[in-house]
Amino acid sequence: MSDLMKQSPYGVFLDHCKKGELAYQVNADDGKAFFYPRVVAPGTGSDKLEWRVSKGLGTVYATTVVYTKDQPPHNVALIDVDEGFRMMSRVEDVDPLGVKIGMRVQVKMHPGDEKQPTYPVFTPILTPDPSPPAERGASSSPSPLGRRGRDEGRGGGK
Amino acid sequence: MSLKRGSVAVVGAAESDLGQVAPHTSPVDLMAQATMRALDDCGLKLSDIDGVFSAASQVRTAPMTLSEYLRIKPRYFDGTTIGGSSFMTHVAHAQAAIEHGLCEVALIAYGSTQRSVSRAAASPREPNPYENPYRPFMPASAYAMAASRHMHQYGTTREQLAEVAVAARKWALLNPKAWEKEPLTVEQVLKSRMVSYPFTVRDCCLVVDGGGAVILTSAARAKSLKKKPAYVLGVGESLSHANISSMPDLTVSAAAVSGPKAYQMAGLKPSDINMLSLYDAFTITPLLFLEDLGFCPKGEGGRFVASGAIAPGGKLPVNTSGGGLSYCHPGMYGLLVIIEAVRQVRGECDKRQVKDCNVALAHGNGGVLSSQCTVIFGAPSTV
Repeated sequence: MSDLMKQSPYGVFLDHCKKGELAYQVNADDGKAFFYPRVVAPGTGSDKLEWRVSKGLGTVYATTVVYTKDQPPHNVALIDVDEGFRMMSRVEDVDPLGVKIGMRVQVKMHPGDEKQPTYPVFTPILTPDPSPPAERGASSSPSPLGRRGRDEGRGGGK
Repeated sequence: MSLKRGSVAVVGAAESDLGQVAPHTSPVDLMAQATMRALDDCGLKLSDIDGVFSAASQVRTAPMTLSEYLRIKPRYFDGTTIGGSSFMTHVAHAQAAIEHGLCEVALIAYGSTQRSVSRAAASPREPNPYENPYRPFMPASAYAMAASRHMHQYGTTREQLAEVAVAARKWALLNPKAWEKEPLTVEQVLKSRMVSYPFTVRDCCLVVDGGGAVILTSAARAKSLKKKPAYVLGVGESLSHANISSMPDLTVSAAAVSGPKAYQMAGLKPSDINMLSLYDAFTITPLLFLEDLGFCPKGEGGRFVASGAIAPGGKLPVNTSGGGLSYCHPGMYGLLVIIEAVRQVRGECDKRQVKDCNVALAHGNGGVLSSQCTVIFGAPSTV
């Protein structure tokens, strides 16, 4: 059992972020990855957990663009990370409406600021994709910017 | 042991004042006002209430605070808080309590002043270091991502989503209590201010003040009261996740679990339902629930609503009050979803009354598609 007097799951995750690493946990009993980090494995309660560092590659599972007053619109997405877990994040370095489901992305650390500690965001992978996993590669689009949705070009948010 | 079909009934139902209430009104003021109206609706007195069920984002200890306000000492109470579907859960839990003799007259109440105090003040965000850095506009962004999946997998369009808002508006124009009073077109929905793509502000529920109350009692006692009882024929409750990143499949809600549970208890199937009251927090939600509750195949929700099926004159009346999109949405809207279903089986809906409405289904949604709870109400002819 992890010792919460010494370290917390988020504390470990954050330490990895500070080193530029996207960390996640695996249940050692069944080898299944999960996210967000916990003190026990979800579903089984096992305390045999291993921390691992992701290769940082993933695929956009779902996406939206948030419009706030006095700020440019920003992306929010759910990313299926190749090691088998899903997380919320943001895809940067691309028009937020250009983030498409199926798009291949790679992690990078956002430095954060005084109030917000460093945190992982993603950036599109330009071809060639270093290692598209077989199960996702089959359904993903050949375009580096992913599948063009049928609403492309509409609803620019103004 | 399972709950018994028709063992309890809603005998009183009422809204509080709705819309924008006077400055300094409290959520509990609204609960108390609705409670007295619901008691008046059935002819019972405050002293008859021996079970209190309540949840509200602005009142952390709702059953306790409401009991103090009303100065009642309930034998049984339950403050289950799982978002907008809390009150469907309260119906199920009240039914269990009444069946076991733990209480006989149950009050379920809700109130919110989110328009007056602001949504951010009424429902402050919980800390979550794995989501908050990305500044999702919650809950809208979670539902928007569910819509993005539905559009991607099934070709659902923004126009089809807008049809949900347009149908709701048509119903609202038949409800004198509805907040919105003007017609709405698909074009207007699409051209409104974008909130979280693909949702404009017209794809999103209203932000208003309001509340409601319902009174439940045993079937035996219900028969002697003022109005026709709305019997609880079936209930189903389900939780699937809390945070949207933990939802297994964004195109399938746990209504696919709660619905069949409620149908099984009621001994009914979707084709037996005369009217649906579906929690419409965003235009994607009725669409998902129509699919998950068995009214159209998975993926067909967009085409189903675009056919005009759910609008006045359509083949399946949905959200006849005008829904959270056009009638009233004071935060956790589920209790008002129940009230409309009750009124429809009682035949009290005047211009928007569904003909021969003997069975109505009220479906609640909470969190970010997280909790799904279904209640099926029946007129006396069904028990």
